[in-house]
Amino acid sequence: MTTPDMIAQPDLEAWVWSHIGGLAGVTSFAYAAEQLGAPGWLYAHHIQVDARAARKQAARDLAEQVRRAMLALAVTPWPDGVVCYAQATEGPFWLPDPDGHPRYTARYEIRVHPPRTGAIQAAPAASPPRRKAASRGA
Amino acid sequence: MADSTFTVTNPHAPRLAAAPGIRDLAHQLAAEAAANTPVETGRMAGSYQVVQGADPATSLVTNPTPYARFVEYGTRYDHPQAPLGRALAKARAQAR
Repeated sequence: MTTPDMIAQPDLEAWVWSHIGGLAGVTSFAYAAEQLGAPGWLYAHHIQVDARAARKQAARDLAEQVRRAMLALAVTPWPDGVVCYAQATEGPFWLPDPDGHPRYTARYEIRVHPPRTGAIQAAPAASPPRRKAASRGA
Repeated sequence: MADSTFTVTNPHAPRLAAAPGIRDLAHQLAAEAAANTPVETGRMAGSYQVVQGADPATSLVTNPTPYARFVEYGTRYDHPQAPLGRALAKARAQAR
């Protein structure tokens, strides 16, 4: 069985994490991805980033560092894809954990498409072809 | 071309005209968020409200359940469920 060619999607979450994962106290979570326009080309990823620190001011400074890194993605070259839009949709705002631990939270929308060259790749076969069962007896 | 003079009789008219559509959209968002909300007792899923904002063309989707923020945005121990965030993401994609 063959499957149709498809456009390989770049791993945006990994790209984002490679930029902010080095900041101690930062976690990210992609909670939605929506297709925009032509199928298989442009996707909007929605990512929440939390910045935690021992003190409120430190958490706020960390969230600002994250905000700058996230918005810079739109002008950062990336061999696996193209970030064509990066904006904060919420925050950063103060949202301490239930135990009072300082946290600033922000959500970002990042639109991404694969690179224009070499985007079409054959998808691997979903399962090996079935062999017809041999007939028994005559 | 002759000069024309216009007098704006109601500066809020454009926002008043847009208000019903925006209110409908807010109700759709609230319904979608309720459908996305994880249900144990149903308290949070049943508590989404649409509230009139400061001007006619602003509607707010709110949820007064005390733990709603922690379901929406997660905690140190639980990842965010983002019921309203997912509804908003879908609406933003459809609005393009």
